[in-house]
Amino acid sequence: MAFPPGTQHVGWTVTPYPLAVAGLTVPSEMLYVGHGLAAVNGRGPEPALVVPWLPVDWQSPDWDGRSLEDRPSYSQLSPQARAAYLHWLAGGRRHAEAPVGYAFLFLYGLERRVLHDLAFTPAARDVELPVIARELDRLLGLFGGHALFRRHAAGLRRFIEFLDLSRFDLTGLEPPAPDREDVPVALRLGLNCFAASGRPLPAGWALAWLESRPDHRPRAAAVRCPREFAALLARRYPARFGDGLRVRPHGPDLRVEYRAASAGFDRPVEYRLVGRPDVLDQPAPLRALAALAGECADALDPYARLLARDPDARGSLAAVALLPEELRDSPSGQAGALLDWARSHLGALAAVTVPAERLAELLGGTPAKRDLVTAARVLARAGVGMEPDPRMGGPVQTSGPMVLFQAEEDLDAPTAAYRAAAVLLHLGAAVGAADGEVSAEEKDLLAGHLEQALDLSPGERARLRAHLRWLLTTELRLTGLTRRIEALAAPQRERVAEFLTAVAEADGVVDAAEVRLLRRIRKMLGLDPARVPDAAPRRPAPEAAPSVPAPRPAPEETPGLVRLDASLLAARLAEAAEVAALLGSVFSDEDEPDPPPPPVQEAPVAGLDAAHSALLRALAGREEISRAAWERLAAEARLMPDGALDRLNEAAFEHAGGPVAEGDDPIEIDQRTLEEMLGEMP
Amino acid sequence: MSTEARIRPRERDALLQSLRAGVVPRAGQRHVQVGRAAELRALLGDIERIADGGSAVRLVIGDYGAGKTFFLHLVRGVAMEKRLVTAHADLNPDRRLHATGGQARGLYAELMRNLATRAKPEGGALGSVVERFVSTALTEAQQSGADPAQVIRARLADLSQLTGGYDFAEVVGAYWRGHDLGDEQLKASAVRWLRGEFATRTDARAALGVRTIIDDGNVYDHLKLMSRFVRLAGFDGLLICVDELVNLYKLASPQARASNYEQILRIVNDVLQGNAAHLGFVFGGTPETLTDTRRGLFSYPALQSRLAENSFAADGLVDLTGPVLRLAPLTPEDLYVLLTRLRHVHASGDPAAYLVPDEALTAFMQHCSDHVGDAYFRTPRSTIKAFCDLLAVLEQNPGTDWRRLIGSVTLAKESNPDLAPLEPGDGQDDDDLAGFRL
Repeated sequence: MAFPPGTQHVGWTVTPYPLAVAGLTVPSEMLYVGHGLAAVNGRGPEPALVVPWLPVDWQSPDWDGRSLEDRPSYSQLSPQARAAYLHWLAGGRRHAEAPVGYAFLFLYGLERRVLHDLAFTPAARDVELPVIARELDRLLGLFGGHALFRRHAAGLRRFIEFLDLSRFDLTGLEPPAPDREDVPVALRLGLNCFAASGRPLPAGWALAWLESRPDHRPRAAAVRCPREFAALLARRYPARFGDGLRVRPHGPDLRVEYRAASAGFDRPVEYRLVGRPDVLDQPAPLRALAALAGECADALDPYARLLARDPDARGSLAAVALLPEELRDSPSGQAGALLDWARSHLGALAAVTVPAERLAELLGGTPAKRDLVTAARVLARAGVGMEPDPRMGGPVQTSGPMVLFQAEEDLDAPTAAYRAAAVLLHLGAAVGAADGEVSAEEKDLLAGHLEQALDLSPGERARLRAHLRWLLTTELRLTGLTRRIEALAAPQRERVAEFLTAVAEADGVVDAAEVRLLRRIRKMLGLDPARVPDAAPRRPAPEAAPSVPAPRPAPEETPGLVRLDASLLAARLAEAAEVAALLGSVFSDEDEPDPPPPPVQEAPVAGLDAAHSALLRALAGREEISRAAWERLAAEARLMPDGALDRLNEAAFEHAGGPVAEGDDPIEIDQRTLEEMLGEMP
Repeated sequence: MSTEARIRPRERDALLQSLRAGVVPRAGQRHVQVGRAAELRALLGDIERIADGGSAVRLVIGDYGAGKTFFLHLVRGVAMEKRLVTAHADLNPDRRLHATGGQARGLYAELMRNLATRAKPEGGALGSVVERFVSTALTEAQQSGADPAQVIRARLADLSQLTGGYDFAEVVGAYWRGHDLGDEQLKASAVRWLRGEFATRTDARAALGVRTIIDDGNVYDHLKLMSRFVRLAGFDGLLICVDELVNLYKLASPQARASNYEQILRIVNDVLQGNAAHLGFVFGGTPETLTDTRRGLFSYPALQSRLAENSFAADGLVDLTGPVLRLAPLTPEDLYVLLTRLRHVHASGDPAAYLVPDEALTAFMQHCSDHVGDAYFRTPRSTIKAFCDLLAVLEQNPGTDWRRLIGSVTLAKESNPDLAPLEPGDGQDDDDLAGFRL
C-alpha cells in the first residue's frame, strides 16, 4: 500500500503489514506514515512522521549518520539519511550498529503515541502499551549503551509501566527488586495500594522499600550476606510489627513525569493520580524499618565478618554457630551432618555414650578446643548436650567415649556450684571405683546427693548426670588423683572432707552407705576415717565451724529425725564456692595449659612491650591493612585487635604526636609516624 | 596549646570540612581555638583534678552561637590528651538524664557510642577500652600463670561492690570468654550490654546470663562504674560532655523537668561532696536554661542555691571556681586571630602557602560587618563558613584576586532554632499521663 501525495492521511498501527515507502517495503508497525501531521507543540511537522514521497537517495545511504543533526526530524533528513533510516526500518530495526539518531527518530514516534495520542484514545491503551513496552525493552537491549538514549527509553518505559500498573491492585504481588538509583514504579504504586487498603505490609515489601531509599546506607553485614539478611529480617519482622507494618495513606499525589526526547514536545508530560498518595517518603515507618534492619545487621555481623575473612566458610560449623538464633533451624553441610549424627544416636534416650573419634572426624580430623566449643554450641541449640564440654571445664577430647544427652538448657560457663559438684563427683566416682566397681547405689548416691545439696538448675543437673556417666565410662585417673591430693596441705584436706560431710548431711540423714563413702574419701585424703561418726542421727554441725558465730538454737528433739539449722546449712553451702575453687585447681581436667608463646625476640620499640612491638613492625611498609588481616595479625601476636590498636596509637601519640593507624576497615597506616616510632629503637 | 603543632592532612580536611558545613569539628579544635584562655585554664584544672582522682562539674553557659559546643569539644580534646576517656552526647527529646520510657538509657547508649580515647577521638572506643582492660589482665595472667578469667574477676572485684557492678564484671568476663572461645556473638552481646542497648532483661539473660540491664533508673550509677572501669583499663578518668541542656528547659511537663534537674543536682552534689572519683561532667546550655526561674535550672531551688554565681563577680570581675562558667562572646580582635588560624590551617601550617595577605582579613571583616553587623564576631559560625569557602575558591582557582571575591561573599543571618517550640507529640509527654487507652 502506498500513499499518494496530497492526502491528509496518517497511519499508526501496532500490527505490522508491509508498506511501500519510496519503493522499499518496510514493516509499518509503530510508525507514523503519511502527511500533514503537525508536531504536538504545533511547531512544524511531527518529527517522527515518515512522508513517503520525500526524496530518498537509495544510491548512497548515510550509514554513518554524518548528515544527522541534533534532534532529527524525518522531513529535515538528507535523502541519504532517509535511505539509511528506511533500510534500518525495513531490516526490522535490528541493526544495533546504526547511528543512534535513527533509533531516536523511531523513539519520537513512540513518545508521541504514548504521551499524546493515547491520552485521547484510552480504549487503545490496553492493546498498544504492552506492545510499545516490549519494543522499548528490545531497543534498550540494542542501544542501551548510549546514555542519552537509555535515559529516554527507560524513562518512557517507566511512564508506561506507571500507566499500566496504576490500574491494578498490587498487594498480592511479589515486591519489586529494590533499586536505590531509580525507585521502581511498582514499589511506589504497591506501597500506595497497601496504604490505601489499610492492609499490612509484608516483610519483603518493607525490605524493598527500605533498600530503595537513596539515603539508606545498608550495613556491611547486609551487603555481604544479603540472603541471610533478608531471611533474618523476614523472621524478625512479624515479632516487631505483628502481621505487618501499616502505612498511613498520607503524602503528595502519585505522579510520573517524562521529558520527551522529541523536538515535538516543549514541556515534560506529567501523569498524576489524584487522591492516591505517594507514601514513599514517610519518615516514621522508615525509621522503624531502619532500626529493625540495623538490629538484623548487628546480629549477622559476627557471621558476616567470618565470611569476610574466609569466604569458603559458608555452611561450615563455625559459620552456623555464628548465625543468629532464627536462622539456625535447618543447617546443611558440616553442621547438618553433626546434628544428624547426634540425633540419630540419641533418639529419645536421655543420654547415650558415643565414640569421640566420630565427632573428631565430623569436625575434620583433629579438632582444637575452639572447634569443639563450636560443635557444643551448635548441638546445644538443637537441645543436645555433650559431655565433656570444653566450655564447662571438660577436656578437649578426641578419642574414647563421650556422652550425648538431652539438654533443655544451654549453659556456656560453669557456675561455682556446678564446678564444686563436678569436682566432688569426680572425687566420689574415683573413690567409688577404687574397689573395682561402682555400684548402682553408689552412683545414685553420688549424683542424687550432689544434685540436692547444691543450688543447681535443672539444666545443670542433667549435665551432671551425663558427666557422671562419662566419668564412669572413662578410666578414672586415680594415680593422678592421689598425686594431686598430695599437693594439698593438711588443713585444706580437712576442709574438703568437711565439705563432703556437709554435702552428705544436707538431706538431714547420714546413712550407712554415705558413711562408708565418706570414710573412704577421708582415707584417701590421708585423714582419720574414724572421724566420720556412725550412721546414727547426729547434730550436723561439726565443731570446726568458727566462721559461723551465730548461736545455734536448740534443735527440736524429735527422735530419729535430725532437724537442720538452716543458717548453718546455708553457711556450709556458701563454702561450696570457695572449696570448689580450691578443688578446681587440683582436679582440673584441663590438659596442660597452652605453652606460653615463644618469647618474642623483638627489641621493644616506642615504649611498647614485645608483642605490641612485633605487631608494629608487621605494619611497616603497608599503606593500609584490612580489618580481617589485622585481626589475624593480632591473633598471631596473642593480642586483642581493638585493644592493641588503641595501645599502638597511644604510643604513637606519645612518640610522634599523632595516631599511627586510623579508620575501621581498611585501617590506614601513617608510615611517617610509624617510622618515627620504629626509629626510637636503641 | 602549642599553635605550632603539626597539622596532619586528615585532621586539616576534617576540620575545614566541618567548618564549611557550619558544624563543630570533632577533631583538631586546638588548631583554631582563640581567646578564652582563663576559661580553658579553669577546665584544664578540672581535668587534672579528675586525673588525680577527684571529680568536677561545669555548666558552660553562653548565648546562641557563642561557641559552647566548640568549647565543649575542645575541652574533650584536652581531656583525651591528658589520657582521659571522654563521652559526649546532645540531649534531645529521646535522650534525657531522667525518664521512664527509655530516654535515659538512650542518652547512656549515645554517650557510650561516642566514647572516645586519644587514639580513637571520633568515638566508638568502648570495644578498645574493654580490650585494653582485658589485655592488661591477660599480661598479668601470662606472667603469673593464673587463669585469665580469675585475674579478670579479681581485678573487677571492687567494681562488684558498686550498684550494678556485679553484672558489669560478669559482662566484661563474658567478653573475654567470647574472645577466648572465638564466640563473636558473645563478644557482640557483651559490648551491646555495656552500651546500654539491651532493652529487656530477658534478652540480656538469654545472651549473657546476667539478670540486670542498664536502664533508665541506673544510668548515673553506670557512668560511675564506667569511670572506675576506665581507670582499670589504664586511663586516668572519664569526662562526660552533655550538650543542649536547653532540651530539658523545653520539656513540657513540669514533673519531667524537675526529675531531670534532680539528676543534675545529684551529680553536682556527688561532685561537690567528693563522692565520685575520676569522673567529670561538662554541660552546655544557654543562659535562659540556667537562670529562668520558671522553667530553667533555677526553677529547682536546690540547684539555684548551688549554682548561684558569685555576686561579686560582676562588671568585668570573674570567678572561675564555681560550677557555672560563662563564655564571654568573642571580640573582633579574637575573630581576626581566628581568621589567621584558619588561613594557617588551610595552608597546612606553611606560611609560604598562605592564600591571602593580612589586609584581606581586615577587608573580609569589614565586609561582614557591613552585612550582618556585630553578629559577624558574636555568632561567628557563618563568618567562618564564608571565610573557608573563600579560601577554597582561591585554592582551586589560582591567580584569582581575593579583592574581587570578597565583594561577592554573602552571609546568612543566624537564627536561634532553640526558640522554636518542640514538635508536638514527639515522645515528650510520657511523664504526663496525657494519653490513655480504653
